Amino acid sequence: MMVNLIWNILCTRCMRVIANQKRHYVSEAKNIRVLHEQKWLPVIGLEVHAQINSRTKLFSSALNKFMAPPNSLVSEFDASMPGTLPVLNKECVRAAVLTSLALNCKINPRSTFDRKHYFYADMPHGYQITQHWNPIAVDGKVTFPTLQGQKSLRIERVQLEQDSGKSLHDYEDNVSLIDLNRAGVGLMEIVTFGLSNADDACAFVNELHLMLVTLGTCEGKMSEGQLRVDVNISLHKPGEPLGTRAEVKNINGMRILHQVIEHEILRQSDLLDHGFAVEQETRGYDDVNRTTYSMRDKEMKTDYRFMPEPNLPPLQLYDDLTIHNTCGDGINIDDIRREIPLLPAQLRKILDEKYKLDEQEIKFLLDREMVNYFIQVSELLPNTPPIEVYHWLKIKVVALLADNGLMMSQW
Amino acid sequence: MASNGILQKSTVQIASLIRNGAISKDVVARECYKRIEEIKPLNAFITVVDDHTNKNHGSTDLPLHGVPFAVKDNFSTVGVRTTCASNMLKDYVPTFNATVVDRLLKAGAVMMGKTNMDEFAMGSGSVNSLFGPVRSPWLYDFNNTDNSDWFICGGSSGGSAVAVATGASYFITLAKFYGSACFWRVRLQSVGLGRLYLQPCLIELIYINSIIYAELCVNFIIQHPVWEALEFYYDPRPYRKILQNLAETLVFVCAFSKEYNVPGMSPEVIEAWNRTADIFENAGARVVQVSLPHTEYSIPCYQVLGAAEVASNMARFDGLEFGHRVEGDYTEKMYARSRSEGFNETVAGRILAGNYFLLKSNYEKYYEKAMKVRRLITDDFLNIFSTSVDILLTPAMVSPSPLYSEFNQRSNRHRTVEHDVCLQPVNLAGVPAISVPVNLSQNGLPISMQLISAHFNDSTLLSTAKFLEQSVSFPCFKFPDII
Repeated sequence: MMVNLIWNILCTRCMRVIANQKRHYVSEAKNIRVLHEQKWLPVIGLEVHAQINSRTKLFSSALNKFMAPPNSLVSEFDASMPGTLPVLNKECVRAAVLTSLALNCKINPRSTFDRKHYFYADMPHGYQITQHWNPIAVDGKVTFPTLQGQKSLRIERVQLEQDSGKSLHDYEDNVSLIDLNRAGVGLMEIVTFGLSNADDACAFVNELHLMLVTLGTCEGKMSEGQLRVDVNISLHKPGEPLGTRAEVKNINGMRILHQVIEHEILRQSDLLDHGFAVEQETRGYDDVNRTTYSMRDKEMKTDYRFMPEPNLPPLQLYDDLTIHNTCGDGINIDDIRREIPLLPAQLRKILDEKYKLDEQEIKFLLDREMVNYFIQVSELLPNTPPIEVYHWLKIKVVALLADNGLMMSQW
Repeated sequence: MASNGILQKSTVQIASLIRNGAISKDVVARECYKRIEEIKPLNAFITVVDDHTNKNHGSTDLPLHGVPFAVKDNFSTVGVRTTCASNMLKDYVPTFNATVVDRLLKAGAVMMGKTNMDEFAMGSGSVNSLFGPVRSPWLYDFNNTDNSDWFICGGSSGGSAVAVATGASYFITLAKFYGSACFWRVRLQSVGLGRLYLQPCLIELIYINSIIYAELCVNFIIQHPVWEALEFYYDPRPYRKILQNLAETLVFVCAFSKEYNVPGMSPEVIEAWNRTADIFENAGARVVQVSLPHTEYSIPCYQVLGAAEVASNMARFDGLEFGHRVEGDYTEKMYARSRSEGFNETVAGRILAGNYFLLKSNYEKYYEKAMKVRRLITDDFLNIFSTSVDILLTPAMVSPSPLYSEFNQRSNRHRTVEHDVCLQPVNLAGVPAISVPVNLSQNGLPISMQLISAHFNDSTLLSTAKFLEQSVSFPCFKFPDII
């Protein structure tokens, strides 16, 4: 008994020591003062770009596939050949509506498309078609689990837009290679604002990721760039107006997102503590040194010269009351609402209340897309305790999948 | 049959002669090629399609089997270079046909070539082309091709107009600027040429050499996916119905607009305007005067909206995927060099102006304001057409065609101000309009009137134009027997 107690105390102490050392290490190595948590409040906004899981691109009939030979999935429109015009992909619109409904957004029955201009080699038109003024959905809310319990976050808007192609720079030979396979693929940009720390930001993105995968509107493979996050961070004092924000774009991993936010909070608070101003800019992330750096890029303060996209009429959506006004090919928001599957929050509730699984177990099933399978098996075996089904899944099935190099979705 | 005989037939007539076997399509093509050769000094064609390419053996029952046509050089044509009269696209050969070209070829028509124009359709005289200016055939001395001066033929589609007027083709497709807005139909037709010019509502524009032909064209090109996507679905049926009606059944109110009587309008044009109104009145139409108070803002409004759209649309020409390319040490340098060499001054100027109007700090001041003005201009038309007016009658141009030397003294921007003034409001409002030549000026140049109708009322427009065409019996251009 005594031994146990001492052991426990020792352990806690050890961990404290380790934690302190860690912080000490960070402070020393970066020569940055430790954040005065009471002094500066971070405000974090996220723009999540989710590639729509559609067969073809947003405005052309070229296929949307990863890892095809370079420039093999490019239509005349994607290459911006003169005289080509965009034709909106209905599948992408449906995906955006389904996602927006799941995020509790208000769907705009009439949304419009705009052009956002900048010259970039992997953007053949010289502009991106996006929804700047009237996005497809606004004003949503998502509840997500954190270590401190449930939190909720407001979704400002969901907008449809085009993805860009990819540039490969070969600095030795001084050439850039362009692959337009991704150019014009549909993206849902999900914009949020008002997070206050890295843990919450990651917890939210995690939940969003689960929701998108559950809905099937995005496959969510971050390593393939299907889910990318732009994060903007500013610090201010309580009761004062928001500070100047710095942005880091195209983060395609949860670990990096966490590091970027932590680092930026430290960097900015250090600047502010010493009386310097934070510059409004886009920063890059250096994964090796775990720091962000000023890009000093011409792109930095681009004036995007937005204008309404003149080649696309407004996107009109209907509901049960108005659908009869169309020739029958309109998109009915209420039809899509009826198709919403059980979302992670609801699945958690079922697993908790009906199957009595604990948080860790639930998370394990959700993260591996095994919930539906678990429920099916449990229902087939009413006399088997659910926890046994869980263990069987966790050990046998996971091993079987791993041996065969399969994902649960391929089961 | 003498070539003037064959080449002066209307599209419908020649199509039926070929179909009946009265004349072989090879003979028609040969006559057209001969005429193209004869009008070479007018510089109407940028590219003439090889005779052999045209040996298509399509079915003889196709409605346009064997009928020669030409295409303005800003329409994509598979395997035939499409230059937009610009250095930027000098060697550009598209991999796809524009929808209208595709439909016409499928209907059996034969493409003779690609016609000259102002670079990227920016201009009103067809004098700003990489391939040199287009010359009007009217009063042109074909026996002395060293002419140092000549009359301009309007623009930006001058080459197309010349091709139709001289019989080098039976009809022409022209119109929309590449990938452009719904509002931006065509700018200024070659009204100096004594050919009809129709701007249909929501469909691409076509040069026609007879009203009846409009029915054919309209039916071929009407089902464009973009138009289908528009909230208004345009039904082509009224064309068939109305075009069978004759002018006797015409009872309508025709209106003058005082705002179109702009300073500098030539007395001859005003006289022709009054005479045309009399023709309608004598035929039983009630002629009233109406007011479109925002007409004078049309040109500045267009200059802002047009330039903004140019700036945006032209961003794709970066030398990367296609078009003129000059290598540079880094990407931005390559863009800058390719674009500086690729565009003429007018195009570059509009790109610059457009980007200025679209700057975040200027958007509200210029672009947004221009969009509001455009709405007011459109409302002007909606208002008069809601007061039982069917057709608006205006001159097409302030004066007959000027000489090249006169025209060239003005900057491109000023020319636009002077020459587009009657035609521009129609483009902004998107209402259908047609220009009909009504008589020759004292020195022998054509004068045209413009008829305008309400949105989707193209049928009234066409039957009115048909009536006018028959009433004035305009002396079409006759190619002189030379050499």
